Amino acid sequence: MMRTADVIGAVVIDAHGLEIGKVHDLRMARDAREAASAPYAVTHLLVAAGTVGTRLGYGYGHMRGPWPISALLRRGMHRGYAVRWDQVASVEPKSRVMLRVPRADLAHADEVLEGRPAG
Amino acid sequence: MDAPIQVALTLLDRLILDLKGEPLGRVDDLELTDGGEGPPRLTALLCGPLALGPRLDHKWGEVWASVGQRLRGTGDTEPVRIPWALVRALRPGEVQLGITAGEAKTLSLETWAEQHVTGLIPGSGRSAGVREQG
Repeated sequence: MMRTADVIGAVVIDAHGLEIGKVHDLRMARDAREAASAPYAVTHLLVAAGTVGTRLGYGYGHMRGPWPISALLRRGMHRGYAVRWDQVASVEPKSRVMLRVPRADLAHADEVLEGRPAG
Repeated sequence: MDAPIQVALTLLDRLILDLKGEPLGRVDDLELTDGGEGPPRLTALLCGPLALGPRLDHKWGEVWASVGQRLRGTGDTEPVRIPWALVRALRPGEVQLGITAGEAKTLSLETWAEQHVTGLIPGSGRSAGVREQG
């Protein structure tokens, strides 16, 4: 049993021991065939190095303007990562999330959240 | 799959409404249960200072949680827990439950404050009732 507060804010370390950012949000989904009261399951941890853009609501496409600020902050946030749950090796509550893969194997957040192609 | 959600954007700090639309508080944290070989599952909404305090992640969070626990007037150290199965709908800024305020038990702090603080202030409905009886 854990809480989202145990994960959000935790530092993410890849399989090579490199720090790649902090967890800013959890992405969850559930099968539409399940009952409306069925629980959501964690699919991805959204990880980014910066915090300012996320705090202000930029970064994942939900905040649009004013455009100079939006362009500046979202540019940095787009290099964040969406870590699949099966890529997580362990979670130390309120501290660290250890990954079983290197940074190069991670998808960028915008690829997952907005369906943008890799590259 | 249903449309995916991002918990910090969709759920955390959102207003909780009961079956009749009465506000019950806010979603201060979420309980995740180990899914065995699968990913963790969202099993409950957590409310009140004992849920928000740890989220603040600072000494002030501990102070907030201890004050909240004292005002609740019970020895329970766990936050108010609303099972996910009681959630009826997610709307922008709101989470609607399928139960009433009395069943949710999120207003224990307000009840304690009404009984021990605001209800004792002259002019409150409670003290007016006492005067009328006297």
